[in-house]
Amino acid sequence: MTTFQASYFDGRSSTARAVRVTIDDDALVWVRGAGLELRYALSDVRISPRVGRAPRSISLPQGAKCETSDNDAVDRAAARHRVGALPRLLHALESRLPWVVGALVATLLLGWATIEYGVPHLARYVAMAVPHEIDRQLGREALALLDDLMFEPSQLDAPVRARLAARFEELAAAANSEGATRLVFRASPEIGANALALPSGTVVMTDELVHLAAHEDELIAVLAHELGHVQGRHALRSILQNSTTVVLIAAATGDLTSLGSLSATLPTLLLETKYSREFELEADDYAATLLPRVGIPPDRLVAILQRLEAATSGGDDILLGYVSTHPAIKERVRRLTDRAN
Amino acid sequence: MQQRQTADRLEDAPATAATQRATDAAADAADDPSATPSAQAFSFTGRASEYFGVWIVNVLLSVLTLGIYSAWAKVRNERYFYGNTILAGHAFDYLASPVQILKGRLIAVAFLVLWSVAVEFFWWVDLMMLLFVLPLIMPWAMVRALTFAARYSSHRNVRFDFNGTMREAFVVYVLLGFGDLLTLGLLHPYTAYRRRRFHLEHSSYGGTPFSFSGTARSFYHVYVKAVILALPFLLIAVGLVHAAGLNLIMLLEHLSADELVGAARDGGRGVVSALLPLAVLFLVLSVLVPAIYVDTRLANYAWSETRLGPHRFTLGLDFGRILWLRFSNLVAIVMSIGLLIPWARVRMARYRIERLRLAVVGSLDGLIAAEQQRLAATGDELGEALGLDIGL
Repeated sequence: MTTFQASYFDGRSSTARAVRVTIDDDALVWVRGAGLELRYALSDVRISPRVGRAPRSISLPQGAKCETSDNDAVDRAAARHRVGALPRLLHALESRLPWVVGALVATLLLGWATIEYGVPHLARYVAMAVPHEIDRQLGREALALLDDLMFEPSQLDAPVRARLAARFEELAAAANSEGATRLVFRASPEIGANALALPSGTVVMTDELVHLAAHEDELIAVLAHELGHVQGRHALRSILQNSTTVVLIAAATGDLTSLGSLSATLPTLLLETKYSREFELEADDYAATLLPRVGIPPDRLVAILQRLEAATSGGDDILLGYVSTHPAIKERVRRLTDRAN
Repeated sequence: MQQRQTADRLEDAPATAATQRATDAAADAADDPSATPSAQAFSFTGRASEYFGVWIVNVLLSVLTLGIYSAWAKVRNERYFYGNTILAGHAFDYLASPVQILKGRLIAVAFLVLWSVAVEFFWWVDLMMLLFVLPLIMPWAMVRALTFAARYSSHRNVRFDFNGTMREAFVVYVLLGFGDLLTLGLLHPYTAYRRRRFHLEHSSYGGTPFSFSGTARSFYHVYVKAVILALPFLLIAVGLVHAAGLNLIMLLEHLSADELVGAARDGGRGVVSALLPLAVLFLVLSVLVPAIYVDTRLANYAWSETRLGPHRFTLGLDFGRILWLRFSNLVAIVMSIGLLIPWARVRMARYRIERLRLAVVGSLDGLIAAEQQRLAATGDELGEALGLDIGL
């Protein structure tokens, strides 16, 4: 038999009456006090699930209710009469430290696994199914934007460009790449030496990169790497992965309103650059396989990467490496060299 | 004890309502010697450590059940916050059942899926939605959501209620919404005022209606001050952008997180690049800070013009404190990859709730429940309602 203090509300007005509630061994609920003497069967009464230390409601027939803060007493009575086992279990999960820690660890693991494996897989699956027209559209728009913002017409001689374009065609043929590919040139003092692969199969190479290379083969090596980005549909996968992550994070934390705010963007920003790093490595592997087929040793790629690293000001700061949009060049060089040996 | 039937709605001009209230108060005073309003403070007894357990289990189970559990999670969440909000010794209660919420959510998802599929087949779907379907659905959804939230909330076992009409919802949400667009936002303070009034004037606690004595002019005052507050941030942002040698339009057109990080890191360009993310920061602040200002000041104003029968609310949020809470919460959440969200929520709730007071005339006992509640013995007649909950 369990007794506890409660407030009785008849459901007709807001008046509170102080009562004593007793749940006896015959599964009868007694409400006594303030001029009340009521009796109900436990089965006619509904006990609300416990949430932390919030007051418990015992809903009585005819819309009346008793509210009590003595959650433990209610739980004892419920346990005794084998009522509400599931809610009790849920409360235990939420309130006992080992379970909370377990839930925390499980959530973090699940979250990490989803972001590390689940999302990229899903994005890859979807990206491969997307029609090429989307890629071409993305590529066109991206090039227009870049031309607007930071590209200038190339200053390279026409024969140089024609030769490189021809060798690129050779490369694409050797790669059996699906979809049309072409090589275009731009000058960009802001970006410097670089090559960008657009989803449409267009590869943009900057004059600065052409000047930086010591040998034409180094440029072809870079083009092979860029072809890897095109083949892997990395741009589209990147977009898909980033938006999925944002949606997942928002959905999991229940904070849909923060979809646009900074707290959602920053973690995904970090993740976004991690994805880019994996794509860079994937493209490197592709190039390392493709280059021997056109008779170019992969260490041409190593050479140009080292030249690029020397040209840009940054050293190899691991923390910075994570935040950067390109993986630390040293790591890529190391991988490619290991692979060659 | 005095039972007061305050079923008559205070629809008239403030002057008449004031007279009515004065008469009521005088009558009260005549009957009850202690009729001077006693200020009851709301209190919040929730604790971050305790709420963390509820929150993390909500997240885990929602993820494991691919979102189905989210309806149960929502109910537990609301019950936690409602149950830890105390007024005059008694807590609030959230009565919705998870199944109702789940039904509502599944229908919303089905609707969205249907929409996206339909767009693939019929090009005119988007246009139809915008011009016809949404303007009709929105008032309906708002009224249903407000009604649901009200009827499934109770205090001392007396449910709240909302009886706004869809016609007025159409005016307030759709027509005035278009008005906002057409006037490029100049109408917005008025729209905000009308929406607040719509919400409050049709709300009641049992048979006792809420009343709102605010004016549109006061809303305008707050918004104007907010715009003035935005100016220094904007000026700094523009100044920084000019110092970086670009102009603002370019910055806005090509804004992306990648470019920000890239710009910040590009050691070669040094100072010039560091200015860009700073400029963006000030741009963001020029929107966020006034927004928080409006939210805080309007909350204070609106609550302080709200009455439940003869009882009067006051809210005294301090803008500086709210600003600090918001930003420190944001930093904490980002640094903890979201794990401090429960702490942030409890912290904010505690501040906002404990600054709310109700000046009670007489006592809060004896407020009569609404007709439906008294008639519907088990309260389940309302159970047919779809658990529509838009995050209000």
